[in-house]
Amino acid sequence: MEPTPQSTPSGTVDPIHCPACGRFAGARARCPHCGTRMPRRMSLRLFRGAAILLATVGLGLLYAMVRAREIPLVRVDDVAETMNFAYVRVAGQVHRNARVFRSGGRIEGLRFTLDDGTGAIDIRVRGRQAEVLEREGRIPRAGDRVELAGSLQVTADAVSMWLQDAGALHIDRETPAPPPPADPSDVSDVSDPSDAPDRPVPLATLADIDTGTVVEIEAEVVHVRAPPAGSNAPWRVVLQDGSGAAVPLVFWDELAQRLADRMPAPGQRLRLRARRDEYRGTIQLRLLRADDLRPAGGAPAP
Amino acid sequence: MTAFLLVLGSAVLGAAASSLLSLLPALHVFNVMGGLILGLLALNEAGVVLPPEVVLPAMTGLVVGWSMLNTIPSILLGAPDESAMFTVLPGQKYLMMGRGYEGVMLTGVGGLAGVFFLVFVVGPLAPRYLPLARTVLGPHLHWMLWVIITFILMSEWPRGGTHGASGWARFADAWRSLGAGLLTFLLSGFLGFIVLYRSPVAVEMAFQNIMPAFVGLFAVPWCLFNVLSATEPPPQVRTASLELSGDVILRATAAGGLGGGFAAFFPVVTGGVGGLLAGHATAQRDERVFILSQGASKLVYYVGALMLFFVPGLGLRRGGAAWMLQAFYTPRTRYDYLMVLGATAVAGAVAFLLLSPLTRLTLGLIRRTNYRAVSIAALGIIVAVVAALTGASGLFVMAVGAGIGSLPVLFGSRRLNALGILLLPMACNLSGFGPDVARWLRLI
Repeated sequence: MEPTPQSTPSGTVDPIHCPACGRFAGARARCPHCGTRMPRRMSLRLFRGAAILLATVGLGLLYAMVRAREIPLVRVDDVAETMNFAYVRVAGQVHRNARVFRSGGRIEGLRFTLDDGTGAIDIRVRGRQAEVLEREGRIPRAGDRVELAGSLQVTADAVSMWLQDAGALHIDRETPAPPPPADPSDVSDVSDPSDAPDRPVPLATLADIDTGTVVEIEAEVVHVRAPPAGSNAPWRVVLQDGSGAAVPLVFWDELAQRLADRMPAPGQRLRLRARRDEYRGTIQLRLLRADDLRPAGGAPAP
Repeated sequence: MTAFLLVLGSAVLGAAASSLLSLLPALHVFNVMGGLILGLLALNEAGVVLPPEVVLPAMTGLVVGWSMLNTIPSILLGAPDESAMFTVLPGQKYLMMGRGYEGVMLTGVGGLAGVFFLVFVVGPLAPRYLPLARTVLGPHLHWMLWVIITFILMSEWPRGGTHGASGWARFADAWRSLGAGLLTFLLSGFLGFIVLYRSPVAVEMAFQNIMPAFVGLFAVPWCLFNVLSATEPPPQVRTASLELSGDVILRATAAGGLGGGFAAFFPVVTGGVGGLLAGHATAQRDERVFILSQGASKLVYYVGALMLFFVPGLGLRRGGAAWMLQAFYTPRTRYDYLMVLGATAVAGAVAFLLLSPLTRLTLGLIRRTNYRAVSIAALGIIVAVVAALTGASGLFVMAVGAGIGSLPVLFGSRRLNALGILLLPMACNLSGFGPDVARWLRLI
C-alpha cells in the first residue's frame, strides 16, 4: 500500500520526515530507515538555472528592445512633471548664440535655448561634451535648426534638458560656424561674444511668454528687499516699466555678491536679461548672471 | 493658526495612511508616492491646487510612518525593502523563537531614536554644517563611491569550500557564492545603465523609471521564495517590556544615525549600504544594539534624505521622495524646513504609537491566514502597482530584475550586490565617464 505523506497543520507536505515510519529522513530521496520513497522535492539547482536564464536572457532581450526602440520626439509644451529623467528628442530653432562657460581656459559647460514652436527649453551641456562641440565647430548659434537627444530635468521652477552625448546633437546650418577661438580667455562665466541683446519686452507681456524663456527687460526699480539674515530666501527687486506691470526680479546671495556696487537701487532704470519663472503661481524674473544686469542706456558690465 | 493646523493634520494623516502600507508587505512607500503624485497632477488639472502646508507634511508623514511601520512586514512577513535586509536575519530569528513582537518593537524603538536624532541633532546643525560638508566632499564623491563599491564586493565571504574533496571542486564550491555576488553586481549594473539611460518605460511615466527594476530586484524574490519555502512561524508571545537600557539605545542610535546619515547625505548610497558600513564601523556585537541601530539607520536614511531637500542653503536632492517632489516644489526658506521638521516629529510620534497595535493586528492575521497566501497576495499587489504605473514594459523590467535579484538568494551571496543597479552607473557618472560607457553600450 502506498504510504500517505505526513501533513503539517497548514496542510503542506512535511518534506523531512518519512511519511511511513515518521522518522527523520532529511533531504534524502528515500527514507534511510524503512526505504520508503520521500515526497518529491524540487532541486534547488533547477531554480538556480532558471534564475540565471531569466537574468541573462531577459537582460539581453531588454537591451535589444531598448536599442530597437526609437527615441521619442517630444514637443516642448507636452513636457510634464512626470517626464522627469525621460530620455527624449527635441527639435527646433536656436534664436540666440549658446553661452559658453569657461574657467581657467577650459570649457566648463554651455547652454542654449531651443524653441520648437510650442515652447522653449533650456539645453545644457557639461564640460567634456561641450569641448567636443567646440572642437568640431558645432556650438549652436542664432539661426541654427537643431535636433538633439538628451535627458529631461523637470523641477518646479524650470524644465531643462541635458545633452549627454555630443554626437546626439545635429545642426542644420546654412553657413559654416566660425573656427573656435585660438586662445580661450580664462574668464569664468563668459558668454559668446556675438551674443547680442534683443529688444526689451514689456513686463505686461510676460504672461504670454513661456516659463523658462530668457527675456530682455528695460524697467525701473520700485523696491529692493534683501533676504533676512541666515535665510535662504532670494533678493527681491520689484521692477516696473511703461506697460504699468510690476514684476519681481529674484536672485540669490551668490549673485548679489558678484553684483557688489552694481546692486540695484530704487528709482534706478535697468536693462537686464532674465529668465521668466513662476513661484507659487506668480510670475517672476530670475537673474542668472551678474553681467546680465546693467544701467539702462549704459554699456554692458565688464 | 490655520497653517499650523493644516500641517499638524496632514502630518498625522500621512503617518496614519502609512499604517495601511505596513499591512501590505513588499509595497514600497515610493511606489505609493508615485501614485499620489499622479493624483495630485490630476487634481491640478481639475483646478484644485493643494497648498504646500498640506502636501509636504502629508508626504513627510507618509515617509516617516512607513520607515517606522514597515518593520512589521519586514520581520513578521519576511518582506523587507532594500534598507531592511540586515534587520531581517536577526528579526526573523526573533520571529522563529516566538518573539516577533519584541523584534518589531526593538526596531521601532530604534526608529523613534532616529526621529529624535533627526529633529534634535541634525535639525539644528544641518543648515550650518551640511552646506560646508557638501562643498568639502563634493569633489571627492566619485572616488569615495568606488571605495564603497570595492568594500561591498571584497567584504563578501565564501560560504563553501570547507568540506568535500580538495581541488577544483572545492575551489568552485568556495567561489560559487562569491561568483554569484559579482555576477549579480555586474548584471544589475548593466540593468542600471539600461533603465537610467534608455528606459523602456513610457516617457510620460519616466519619473518611475527605476521603480520596476527595484521591485524586481528586492521585493519579488522575497515573495517568490516565501511562497516556495512556506515557513510556518511558531505562536508568538507579546511582552509588556523590552530588554533595553539607556546605554543600549544610545550606542544603537549613534551607530544607526551614522550609517543612515551617511546614506542620506551621500549620493546613491542607500540605507542598506549605510547599515553595512555602520555595522562594520561601530562593530556592535550586541544583537539588541544591532536591531535597534538598523531601525534607526533605516529611518534616518529615508527621512533624512527627504529632509536634506529642505535644508536652507543646501538644496540637496537625495532619495526617491526628494527626486519626485522636486518636479512640484522648490523649497526656499526656513519656513519649509521647519514645517518638514515639525511634520517629522509629529509623524514619528504617531507612527510609534501605531506600531504596537498594528503588530498585534498583523500577528493575529498571521495566525488566521496561511503565510503562503499572504505572500501570494503581496506579490499580486506589487505586480498590480508596477503594471498600473509603468505598463507592460515595466513588468518586463521587473521580471528581469527578479531574475537577477533571485541569484543572491539562491546562491547564498549578499542581496546588497543587487544595488549595482545604482552604484555602477552613478559611480561612472560621478567619475565623468558614465555617458562614454552608455555610448559604448550604444544606449545613447
